[in-house]
Amino acid sequence: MNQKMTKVLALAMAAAMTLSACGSSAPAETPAAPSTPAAPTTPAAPSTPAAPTTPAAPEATTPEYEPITDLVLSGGAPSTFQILNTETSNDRVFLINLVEGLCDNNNKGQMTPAVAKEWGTTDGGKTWTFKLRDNAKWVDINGNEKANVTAYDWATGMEYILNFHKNSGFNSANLVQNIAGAQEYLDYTKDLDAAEALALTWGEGSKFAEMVGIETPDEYTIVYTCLKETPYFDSLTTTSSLYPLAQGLIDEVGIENVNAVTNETMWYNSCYTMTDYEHGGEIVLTANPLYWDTDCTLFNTVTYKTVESQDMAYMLYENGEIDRVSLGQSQAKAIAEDPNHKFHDYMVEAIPGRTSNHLQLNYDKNFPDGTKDVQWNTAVANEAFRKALYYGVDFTEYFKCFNAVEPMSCTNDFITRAGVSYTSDGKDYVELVRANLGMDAASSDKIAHLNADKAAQYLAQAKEELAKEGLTFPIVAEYYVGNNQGELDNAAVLKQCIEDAMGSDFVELKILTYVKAYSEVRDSATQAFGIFGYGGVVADPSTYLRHYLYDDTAWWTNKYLHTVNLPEDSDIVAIQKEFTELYNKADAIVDDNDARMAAFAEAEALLQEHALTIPCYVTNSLQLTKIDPNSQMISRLAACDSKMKNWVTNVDGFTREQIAANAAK
Amino acid sequence: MLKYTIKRLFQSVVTIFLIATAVFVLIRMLPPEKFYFDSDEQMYLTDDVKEGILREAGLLDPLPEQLFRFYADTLQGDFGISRRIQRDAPVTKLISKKVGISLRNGAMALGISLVVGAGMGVFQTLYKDKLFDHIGTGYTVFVRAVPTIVSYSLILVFGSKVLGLPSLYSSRKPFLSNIMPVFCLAMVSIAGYAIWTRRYMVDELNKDYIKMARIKGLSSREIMFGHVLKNAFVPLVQYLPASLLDTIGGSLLVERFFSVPGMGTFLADAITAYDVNIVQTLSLLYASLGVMGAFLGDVLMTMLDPRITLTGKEATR
Repeated sequence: MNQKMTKVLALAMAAAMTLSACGSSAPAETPAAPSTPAAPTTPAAPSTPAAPTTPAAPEATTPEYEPITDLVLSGGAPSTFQILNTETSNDRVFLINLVEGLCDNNNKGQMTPAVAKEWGTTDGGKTWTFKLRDNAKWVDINGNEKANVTAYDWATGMEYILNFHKNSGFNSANLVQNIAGAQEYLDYTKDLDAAEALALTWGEGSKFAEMVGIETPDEYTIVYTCLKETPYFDSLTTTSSLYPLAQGLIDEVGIENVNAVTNETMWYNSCYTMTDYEHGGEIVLTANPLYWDTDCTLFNTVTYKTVESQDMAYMLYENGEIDRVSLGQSQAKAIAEDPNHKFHDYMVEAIPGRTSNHLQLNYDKNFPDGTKDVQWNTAVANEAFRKALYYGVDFTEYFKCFNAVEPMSCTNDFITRAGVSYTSDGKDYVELVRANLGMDAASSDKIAHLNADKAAQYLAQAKEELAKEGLTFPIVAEYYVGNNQGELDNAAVLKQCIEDAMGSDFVELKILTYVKAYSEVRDSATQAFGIFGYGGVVADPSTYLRHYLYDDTAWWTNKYLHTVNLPEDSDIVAIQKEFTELYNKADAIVDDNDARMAAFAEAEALLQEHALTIPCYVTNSLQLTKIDPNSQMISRLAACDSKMKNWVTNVDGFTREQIAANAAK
Repeated sequence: MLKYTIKRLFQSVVTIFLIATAVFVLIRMLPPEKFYFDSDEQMYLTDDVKEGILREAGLLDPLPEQLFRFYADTLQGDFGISRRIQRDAPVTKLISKKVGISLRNGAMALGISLVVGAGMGVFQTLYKDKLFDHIGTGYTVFVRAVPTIVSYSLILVFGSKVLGLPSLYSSRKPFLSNIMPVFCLAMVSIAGYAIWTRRYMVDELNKDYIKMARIKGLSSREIMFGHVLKNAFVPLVQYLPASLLDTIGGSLLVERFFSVPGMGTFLADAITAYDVNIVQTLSLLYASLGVMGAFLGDVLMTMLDPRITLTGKEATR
């Protein structure tokens, strides 16, 4: 008995050891194993954009590689299935594939038709008319037709958002700022009893129709009336606040349950339906068989997997279990430094981030005990000090934290994100700001706004002036980051950049951590500065610049700069007031786009001349991918690059060279 | 026994009540906007609108009023709606889906670990100080000594690269994708059951009644399975109800590691997301499971071993 058992155990152990040995010697020198492709789903229906505006034609791309038909990505989960209730990127990644609005963007960032086949304005942007296609359908989770998509769905959607008792005011900001009567209707419903408000609709003779600037002359036409001439209004249609809601859905689930719809009860009109949803597990999207654009290329299914860490995601990519992985700083560095690494040629840049990140200085800093940080507040109020930072801090090493291969692709020289607004001859708006500032042209080896001579001059001036004011050096700048190694490592690099430029005997960066969320620090104003940014909402510089107005409602002014707390006669306040005046003058120009751009450029240049905030970076991270980023939609505004339509894929993964060649095409 | 049961039940309810109250009060010490608005929403909502939302949700009412409402709703089985994980979805609906997954995996792991672990303990006793015993001890030491995250990583690499199993849970391949998570869940418990079964059985074997049984001529088999195993099993039984109930709570580490959408990761996600109603409900659930597990364990043990009494002067526990 004993002998038998010993033999059996010995055999079992030998087998296990053999299998383990096989595992450890498994070759890892080839890129992720190709998946078996099947015929791509090709729903199709040609869109014919027409006058008055000539939208850009959708970019049709011919597959040159063996395509993926069932895509697998890593990702989280949406916090809602009601797109009217959210504007966050985490939710929109999923929801824009399930619900479609009036317009999309193409892979160059231009507006393209979605449910609207043509649109335009004839009065400088005061009223906008959208003509809808008549073959768009609402479907259920299984792709069964529920109803036609009509103009009425947009009126229903807008009434839902602006009715305080239906959507609690969420997503109303864009409408209130742009649509005539929106604020009044929101206020009107807020004062109503809940039951009374819930019973309201948008139809003819309703209070909504009477008050709010949206009309539906027929089933397939929407006319919006803006508060004022809004030449960029069409760019607002990609934001969630101008998405549709089917009355049929409301009737089906009940008005009180519209925000609580799930993937099983919601109605779909975009290219996919969500056929499986497990929070913390797997999410599966399946091509919508009744999607109007039968010419586009869709995946049969797209599976999102919840992945615990970046290392796990990398392993899954290696195993061929997911088709794209973002690389962390250390992973990218390791691959970049090893020319023999199997993924060395496969590291490609993701679509650059939408946000324009700045070093946001805090002009009214407190210590954690609530007392004023006089040293910092005095230093930052000194213009020479700020200019020494602006002209002197070389962020190149810091950029390497985000992109170890081409760090300079993260350069950001302006407050407004490049690629948002253009003049009539196609010049990027930021080039006007550059001209106003007399800044060097963008280059791949230097941050354009740096100037060593000016930096040295302002540094000396600042030291002298601040010493006279009685400050003791070094001035401590308290910088807060999340309590994780990645952020701490990045902060250490930033500290080096700042101390190299300013001298550690003059400015000492003290790295501190917050407990849970940055708002702890921001709300108590205990940060000397933070590096933050925001994505635009509309294709107009105002979307970035309005945050700096000297105004109680300007969020950035209040939450980050804290300049509203400064004395009225402060130099900073004077700059902001001058900026506000220039901004308002620019914003009043609605009939001449070029003049508007020029006026905004002047206002923006003023902020930068005085170094009120210091442009820092745009994210341009690295990834391993089987999806060509050139085929993804791009928008500097609402998140739309996750709409999985006409994506070019390659089961073997793309090399850097292939991506560059495709971009050149 | 009845008196004891009623007393313990009462104590359990009071304990659960106190825990629920403490969690509720502690959460309410955070500013309400923390768990109601994310940063984007804060940026786009005016203070007026934010206040309206909080007021409508009852978060600006006095604390005692909120607490009373919480008790009343809880007694009616209404645990509110999720605010962050899945907006406006009833918490009970979200939890019920996850309980099923955790319970299924946990019960499988418990069954496996009980059968394999207890079996291993029995065989280690039978072959005490022989090769099998040494291998069993080696396994136990390895499992206890190596950090679980390291063991899980080794299992993941072996399972996915060598055996070709899916690395992560997939609802479309539930059987294959559950093999690694269930194995990881069972791995540690197997060692636990093996070591305790062996220990109790060896203890029993040294007792006088076993010597008497041998003198009376009972076979080793009769002694082992008729007396030793039965008596050795009694101390283990008290942990069974708690173990079974614990499976409902899921395993944070295993579920997170293999992306199993169960209860284990849910509490962590809810805390991270400041989803207050889910945190409250899960705290209540876990407290109830813990208290009920201990209670049922005691009751079960007295049922199996009549020598154990729980009340009166002669109480042995």
